[in-house]
Order: sequence, then structure tokens, then C-alpha cells
Amino acid sequence: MSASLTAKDFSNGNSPTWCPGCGDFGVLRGIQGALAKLNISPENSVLVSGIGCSGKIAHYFGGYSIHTTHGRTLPTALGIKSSRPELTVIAAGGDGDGYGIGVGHLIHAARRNLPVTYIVMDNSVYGNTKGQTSPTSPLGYESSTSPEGNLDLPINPLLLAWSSGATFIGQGFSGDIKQLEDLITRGIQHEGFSLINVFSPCVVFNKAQGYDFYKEKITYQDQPAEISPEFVSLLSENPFTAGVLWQNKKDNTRYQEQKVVNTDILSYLKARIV
Amino acid sequence: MKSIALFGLTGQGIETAGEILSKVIESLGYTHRNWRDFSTIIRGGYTSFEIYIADKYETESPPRLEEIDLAVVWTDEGVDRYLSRLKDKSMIFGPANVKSISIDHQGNPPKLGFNIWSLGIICGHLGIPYQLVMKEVEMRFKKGKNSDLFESGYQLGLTVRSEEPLSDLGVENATISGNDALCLGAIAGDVRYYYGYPITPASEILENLSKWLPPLGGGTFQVEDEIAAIHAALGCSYAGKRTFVATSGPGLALMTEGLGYAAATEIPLVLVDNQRGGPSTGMPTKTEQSDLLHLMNAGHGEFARILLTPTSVLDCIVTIQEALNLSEYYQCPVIIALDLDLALRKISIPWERIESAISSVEIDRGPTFLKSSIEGIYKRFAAVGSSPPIRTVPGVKGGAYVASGDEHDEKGLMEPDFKKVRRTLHIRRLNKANSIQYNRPFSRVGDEGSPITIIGTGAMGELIENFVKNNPGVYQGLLIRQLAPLPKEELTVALKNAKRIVVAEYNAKAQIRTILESVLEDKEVHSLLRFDGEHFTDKEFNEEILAILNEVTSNLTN
Repeated sequence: MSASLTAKDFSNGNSPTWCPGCGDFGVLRGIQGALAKLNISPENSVLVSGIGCSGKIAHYFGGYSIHTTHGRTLPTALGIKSSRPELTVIAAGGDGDGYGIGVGHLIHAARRNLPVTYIVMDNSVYGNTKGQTSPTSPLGYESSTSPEGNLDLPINPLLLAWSSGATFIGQGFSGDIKQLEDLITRGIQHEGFSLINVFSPCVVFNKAQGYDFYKEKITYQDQPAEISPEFVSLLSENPFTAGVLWQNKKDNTRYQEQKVVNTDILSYLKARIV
Repeated sequence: MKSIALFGLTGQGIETAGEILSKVIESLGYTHRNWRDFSTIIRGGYTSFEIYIADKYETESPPRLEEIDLAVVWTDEGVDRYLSRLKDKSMIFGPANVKSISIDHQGNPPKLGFNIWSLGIICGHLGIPYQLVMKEVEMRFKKGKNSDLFESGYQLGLTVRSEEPLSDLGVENATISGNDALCLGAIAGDVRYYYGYPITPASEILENLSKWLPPLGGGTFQVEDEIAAIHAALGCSYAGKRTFVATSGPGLALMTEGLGYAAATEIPLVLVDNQRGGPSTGMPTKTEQSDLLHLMNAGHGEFARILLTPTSVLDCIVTIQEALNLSEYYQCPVIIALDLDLALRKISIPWERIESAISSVEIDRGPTFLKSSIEGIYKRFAAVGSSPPIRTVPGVKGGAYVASGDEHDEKGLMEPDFKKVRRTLHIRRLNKANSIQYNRPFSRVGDEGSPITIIGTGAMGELIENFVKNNPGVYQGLLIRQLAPLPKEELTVALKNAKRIVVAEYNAKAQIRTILESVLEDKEVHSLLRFDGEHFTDKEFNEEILAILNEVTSNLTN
């Protein structure tokens, strides 16, 4: 493996068509930087994306990538990682994709400890469809689908993943690429499922939650919480806490590389039924 | 041919007794077919088990038989069901309180234990050595009470011992269901990973593979729903490993978005639909062939697909291997449509038949780069002459590409010049499987020049085969194995001499006939339709066919 990989090796040369100022640029750079830093070759990395502006990230990635249907990044990643455990698999999507239509899969990926780094570009709005309310939009959020203000409590993805058994939970910000790249690096290195929620502003459809909003709210946590109450209180005190917030180890042997079994298949099958 | 029926309540172990009986008969080398009846409620209600046994060494299992030699029943309902089907009306056994059973055929088995008592009667009647059965019984149940129950049943059975008792034929038999057959074929076709969600009648596939794949270094995942199942399968296939998905109606509905996604991205996918009674939850434990028109068209937008229909349990072993090859060559969805009866029916046949079905198809990975590297600019979705594009898998240097459900250019990138790609890439992808290289789009039974043709597939196959064989010279049977693309030329030739045609199918809207419409023009065509969830017996089927054709053939045996 070449020792001189750079972020550029993880670009396919296709120019992103995201709006100027979109937070997703930062996430793409964070992923590219992390893979280069870890010296993982592009052909052995797979990026799985969903639907929405964030889903387009697969089209700018220089490794293998698969742009799936709405909400189904994690099942697709399961199929790749379980059958080819030697590959580095990153799933990426938006808050609508991961916490709305696909939220059921988050719970199961977490309880399976699927060794995939799942990055959610959270902008609290459906940007691709021009600004509808999302599962992380705050109460009272006004949009074309909640003109009187959002009445539904926003989802708390980190607590949800944590209660489902996630073994790595982190939070980052598109406006701080250095911290984000480090977070993604640690997520990829983690042996098990990692959820990284990234505040990734939509400067067109959610102006209320732009870069300045997050800069003001974000506090950094140096060390992951050691015990459950600490994790819960971190997020209750400030839902915008950034850093690796939770990390532990759980058995992961089912995702180990396939042993080559030299069996005569006909005799093997016969022994199953005769 | 010998035929036995056992009738009781679900929860009484009727199926377990049937399994023991089948196992013992298998060990004696007799080809046979089992038939299970389920209550429409998955738990609760009545259930029955029937077994049809060949008299000597046979390579084909018998169809579902109407006439029963001996029936053991738990309640009056069993008498209602089986008395009319008995060759000899006295050959019915049961507890003392059940109507129409003569005193010397009565006993007093407990509710839980009726199955073992019944097994004794059946084995006594068939002349199966006592010790042979007891060995099986003791492997599954505790000693003591069961031995006494079996003994009393066995003594009762000896009073009506068959004149041609079973002996050891010295043939190595194996018993498999259509679902088992799919699993055998899939493993032979190099499937090592499987993602599934339980659903009747496809759960057996997930259960089998959960046992059979880990020793081969692979494994299964019981995922959260069918949406996850098909996307995990797509991920696995994208990564270059072979897999398939199997489900039934409601699960198929959830998989339909994934089906279109596979088509758009040209990721190979094999989907098995074990059809059951619909619509909606419908009749989960009853057979039907009513998804066919859906399968021909399922998914939004327009795309190429291949639809195969196995005609027997053995054919399931072959079909899934062919499907895996076709999916990787044409890079489009290949759908296999079974029906519940074919998926769950268990047949016991000589192992050598199963062996030859397993070995009949070579693995062909199609235009796929599995290793090494690609030089120059690689275009994943570019046609190579008139052939499908070359596929790479992760790990191949220089072969990285994006697979996207968004319309894309030859490299896979979205937001292309739509006017251009719709005239080129889309048309290629749409028409690539218009005519496929498939060796055997249907199986013929009977004589080619016969004036009357019976057409059907799936569970109907055994009945058509049996009917045609018993009426030589008059009928030919065409057992359809490929519905899409329609093998029009081959069918036209096969039907050249056919003046009268009956299309037999398990649905109300004549779906197979509709699909075959273009090859049936100018013929006298009749439909034999059944949609109450039951599979015909041989006699029912024969009578229905003859009634439709309104003729009496003197050489019919029944």
C-alpha cells in the first residue's frame, strides 16, 4: 500500500453540485482526509449513501461507492461489510434519510454492532425537496409542511443509538473540519458500529441554523463518557456537545474475514440431507 | 402406490409423526411424497398429513393422490374429510368417540400421544419392522408411555397388515422440500451469505441456510424487515458475493423498491417469491399462483427482468443456479416464482437424482472483474458491443465507480445529459434481456404431435405430468420454466400441432394465460382455475381437465 495517500486520491474529479456554503463539502473532505490519514486504499473503501443532497456525496468519492434508495444505507452497508469484512465501509446520509425514513435500520445496525462508520449530515431540514420539516427540526420550526410551527418533538439520535447498544457515538460540525476529520478517523478505527452526527448547515433552506448558530452552541468534550449517567447528562446539558461522546467494546467476531473452507460441496450438501 | 392420511389438531404433533414415518420410509428406499395441510390460522385448528408411497424403486415422486388406503383421525371432522377418499371405507381408525369407526378399529389414545398411537397403526399396516420405527420414536420422545402407545397402535395396524408390506429396497433416498432444493442449488451456486426476514412459506430458506452456511465460512442475518433484506442482498452482490432473497406476497411488496433499484444500477439480484393466497395477508398457509402479473411488472419505471418458474422440487435446484448465472450475465433482476405447495411439499427420491440436479449447472460469473486491476478509463455502464457491460467489485484497482439509482451516465455519475443517456444507456438497459440464452424455457411431457396441450407450472407440474403419462398419445404437457422474456419462438413451435389447449393455474384471473396470450392466438384455449388455496389431487385434476374438454377417455384409470 502506498504511504503517500492524500485526500485528493479519494476524489473522482467530479465537481459537487451542492449549493455554495453547504455543510456537506466539509463532510466529504473529512471522509477523504480520514481515509488518507489511515492509508486505506481507495479501491478497498466503499462509501454508501442515501437520498437527499447528502446522498450525492457518493458521486464525488474516489473509492467505490453506492448511492442507495431513501433511508437504506445501513442495510446496504450490512450486505457489503458482512460479505467483504476486509473492506472499509462508510455509510453517509442526511437526517431525513437516517432519522426519518431509515431510522429503524439505525437501531438494528447498533444492536448488531455492524463495523461501519455511519455519518449523518444533520441540517434539521429537507433541503433537497426545498425546505420541509425534518425529524430533527426543533419544536415550533416553521416550514412549508409546518406553517404553524413544528408540533413534533425532535428525535434524539444519539440517545436512540446509545440505548440500542451503539459502541461508538460522536458528534461533529462541518465548520470544524479538523475536529471532524479526527472524529471520522477514530470512527473508522473503532471495531464496531460508530454513529457520527455532523451538524451540516443548509444555508439555503434552514438559515436559522447556519454556521454562526452552531459555533455559538457547540462545546467540545475531550473524553468519552465513562458511565451511562455521564453520557445522558452530557447531552441533556448541551445537545450540541461535540467529540467522541461514548465508546466501548463488544464482541464482533461474526464480521471476521471468511475462512476458506475446502469442502467438496456435493458431499457437504449430501451430509445435510441424507 | 400406497397412500396414508393422518388427521388431528394443530399442536398434537401430527407433523412430527409424519416426519418420523417419512424418515423410516426413506430409510427403506421408497420414493414418496408428503403433503401437509395447514389451518388458515397458523396456529390453531385442524391439520393433516398425507403420504403417497411408490410400490417399488422409482425416480419420480407420485403426485398428490385422491385415494387413501388408510386414515387415522382424531375427530368427526376427519371422518368427513377422509371417508369419501378411502378405497375401502372400513380402513379408518380413531378414538372411540369418533363416528363411523368400527369398534375393532377404535382405541383410547390420549390427546397428546394420539400421533404416536397413529404412527403405530400406520407402521403395523405397512409392515415396517417395529424396531426400525421405535428407534426413530425414541430419538424424539422419552421412553415409557410412548412405547406403550406405539405398541398398542402397532398391534391394531397388524390386524390390517398390507398384502405387500414394505421391505428394504437398498436404495439411498433423500427427502427434500422445494425450499430445501433452493438452498441446495444456491449453495452449489456459490451463495455463502443470506439476509432474510421470516415469512410463510419462505422461512425454511432462512432456517436452512442459518444451519448450512456457517460451516462453509459464510452466514445469515435475520434482518429487521424485507426492505433491509433486499438492500443487504444488493450490498452483498455489489461487493461481488453471490446471494439471493426469498419472500412471499407482503414481503415482496416491501422489496419492490429494491427490485427497481437493482435494475437501475445493474446490480445482479435473484429474488424468490413463494406465492401464497393474496391479496394482503390473505391465506398465508395456502397455495396460489397469483403474483405472476405483478412479478412481470413490479417496480416503477421500465426495466428488463427475467422471470423463471420451476416446475418441480428437483427443478428448484437447477433453476436457482441458472438464475444466479443469468443475473450476473445480464445484470438485471432474475425472479423465481414458486408457489406454497411446491415450496413446502416434501418428496423423497433417490439421492442420485438430487446429485445430478446439483451438478447440472456450472458457475458462470458473467462479465465480472473479481480480481486484479483495470487500466485506462473505466466505464461501468458502457455496453461492450451488444453484450452487457463489464462489472467490477470493490478491491479491483482502477475499477471504482458509483452505483446510483439516480439516472446516470456510463461512468455512473448522476445529473447527466438526460436526452443523451435516455436514448443510449437507458435503451440498452431496458432491452438487454429481451431474448436470453436459456436452454430449456419449458419441459415437455408426452408426445410432441398430440392434439391437446395442457400448460402449467409450479405445483401444477406433477399433476400435468401424471395426467399426460396416463393418457399417452392424446395429450402433451408444457411445463413452463420461463415467463419473461417470453420464449415466443420455442412455444410457437411446441404448439404448432396443438388445436386445443388448457392452461391450468392457481389464480382467478388466468394470469399465465394472459402472459402467454401472444402464442395462444388462433387456438381453442380453456382455463382451469383454482383459487381456494388447495392443491388438486390427481383425481380432482383429471376430472376437471376432462370436464373442460367435455370428453371421456376410456383408458383413464380413475
